[in-house]
Amino acid sequence: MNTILECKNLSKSFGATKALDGINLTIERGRIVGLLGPNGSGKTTFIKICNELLTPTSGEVKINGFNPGVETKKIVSYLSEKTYLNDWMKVSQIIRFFQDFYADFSPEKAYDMLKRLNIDPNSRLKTLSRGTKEKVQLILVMSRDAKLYLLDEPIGGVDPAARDYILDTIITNYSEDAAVILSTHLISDIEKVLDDIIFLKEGQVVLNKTVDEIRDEYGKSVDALFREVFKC
Amino acid sequence: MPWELKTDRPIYAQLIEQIELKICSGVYPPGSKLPSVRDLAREASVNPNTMQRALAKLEDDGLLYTSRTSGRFVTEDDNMVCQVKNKLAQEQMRDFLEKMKRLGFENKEILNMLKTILEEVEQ
Amino acid sequence: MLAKLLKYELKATARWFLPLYAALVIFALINRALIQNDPSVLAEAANLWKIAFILSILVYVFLFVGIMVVTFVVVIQRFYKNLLGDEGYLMFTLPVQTWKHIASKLLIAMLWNFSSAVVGFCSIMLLIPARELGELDLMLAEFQKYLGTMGYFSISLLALAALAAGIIQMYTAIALGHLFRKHKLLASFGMYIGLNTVNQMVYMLIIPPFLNTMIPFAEPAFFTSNRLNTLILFFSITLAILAAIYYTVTNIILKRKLNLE
Repeated sequence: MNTILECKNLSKSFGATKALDGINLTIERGRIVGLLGPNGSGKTTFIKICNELLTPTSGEVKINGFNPGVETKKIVSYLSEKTYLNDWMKVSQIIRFFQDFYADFSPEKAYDMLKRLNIDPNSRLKTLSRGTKEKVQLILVMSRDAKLYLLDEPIGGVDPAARDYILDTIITNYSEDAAVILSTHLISDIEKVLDDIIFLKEGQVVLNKTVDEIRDEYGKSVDALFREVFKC
Repeated sequence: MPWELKTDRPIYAQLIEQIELKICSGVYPPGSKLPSVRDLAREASVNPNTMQRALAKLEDDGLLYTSRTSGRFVTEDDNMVCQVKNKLAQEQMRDFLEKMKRLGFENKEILNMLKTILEEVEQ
Repeated sequence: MLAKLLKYELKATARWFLPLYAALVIFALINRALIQNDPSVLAEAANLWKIAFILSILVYVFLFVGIMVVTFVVVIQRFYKNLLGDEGYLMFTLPVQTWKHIASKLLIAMLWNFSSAVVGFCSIMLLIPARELGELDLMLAEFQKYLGTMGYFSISLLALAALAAGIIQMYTAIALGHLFRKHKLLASFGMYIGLNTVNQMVYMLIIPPFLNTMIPFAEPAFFTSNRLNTLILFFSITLAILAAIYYTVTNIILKRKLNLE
């Protein structure tokens, strides 16, 4: 099956607020997809539902044919916006942790990336700066051989050099077998790396095209189109 | 030679042009082996699928060929490369002429200005 | 997977307890050495010794109480911080069923409660001179008189059930508090009190009917060790069922109603 994620009429409400409103999506393997929208458009809600961190109000999402659960978590690698690492471990210990729980985790890859970013595996997570912690988290996520990568604002709080490294890692890690869904509002940096673009506005999909289709049809970059569509 | 990709045109088309340029200017000489799709994509900071499509189109055009075991190569056919070179040159020239016309210059003026600049550059 | 969760839960918590346990035992021994076998020796000693002794006793008591407090706080904090705080993003995306997360926290919490009690008891034994321990034998004899050897088993079961129920009730309160948008901590506290009320209601409902079957014959001689043990077992089972219900409620909340910040 080439479809890795299928979403039918997915809705999520928090009390009176409708965060997601009837989302229909199909994501194929081998695609790098950008989930774009302003804050509050539902990007994080969607990603959380895919990770079973939230349950839908109605509709469903299936990853590799399964509802979000233990089976999907084995093949989904998630980078949250927040730092979710515990304080007391050393970097080497959190690597061991990931190795223990994820069969598709490669410690060699992780140590390699740590070396390139000059992060000492013996340092305690508590002592690392926020930027470094985010890099460690990214390394952990990308060292997995997952079928679906869900990256929530991966380049948000990072300096430009790190941003380049992150995009480079995404390209390097590319596999025809896996899909990457990237949510961000920093589009110009990332446009060239994306296959498909999904605009999310107030919980609904308002656009679903490839980058080149957009540039062809609209004669402008995705970034420029975004600014138009989401003008305040 | 860095990859120059503009933001308002389809990436796929620009990649084709950029690779053609690199082939004609000797960055990828005739008969040479190209880096892998992934490496090229990393260099250009673009999506590997898009890079793959561009390379596939250039293969269709005959500028590149794939040897099943060893990878992708630039054609050894010098004629073909010459043709592409000429095509690119013509595109550049037409672009240039259009811009000059918009500035209001006539053909004779354009030729004279060109001659002068060429002489200057030569020294 | 549960074994792995237990391993990491133990690693995360041991750093709090082991040093405290060691310190408690050391100070018990120090105090024992200072008292020696005759407290009156101390009355004669120099003031410096007296001060050292008082300080040492204070530290011991401080550690003893400290261990009780830390045990309580760590139990709550591990559940709250690791599952419902930012770390929850990591934990709940592991390919592990929700009930195993609860189980790992509960089992390790029970372990530390148990070991804190054991270490505390041992430190007291170390502190007290040998001849006072004669009392202990008398106490055990009384115990056996009323409950027999079976009593060891039934009381242990009761302790286990009470411990499990007590801890899981806190988890349920925290999980229920988590459902509120604001003032989650306050809500958890309120929920805990609410659950205590629920407990009381359950006891009121279940225990009188059970006792009624016994009361017609309630003279002291009636309470044989067998009947007492049955009563204790009955309480244990009630607590175990209560624990199971709280466990299920917590599991449902974490599975269906999770909403991390």
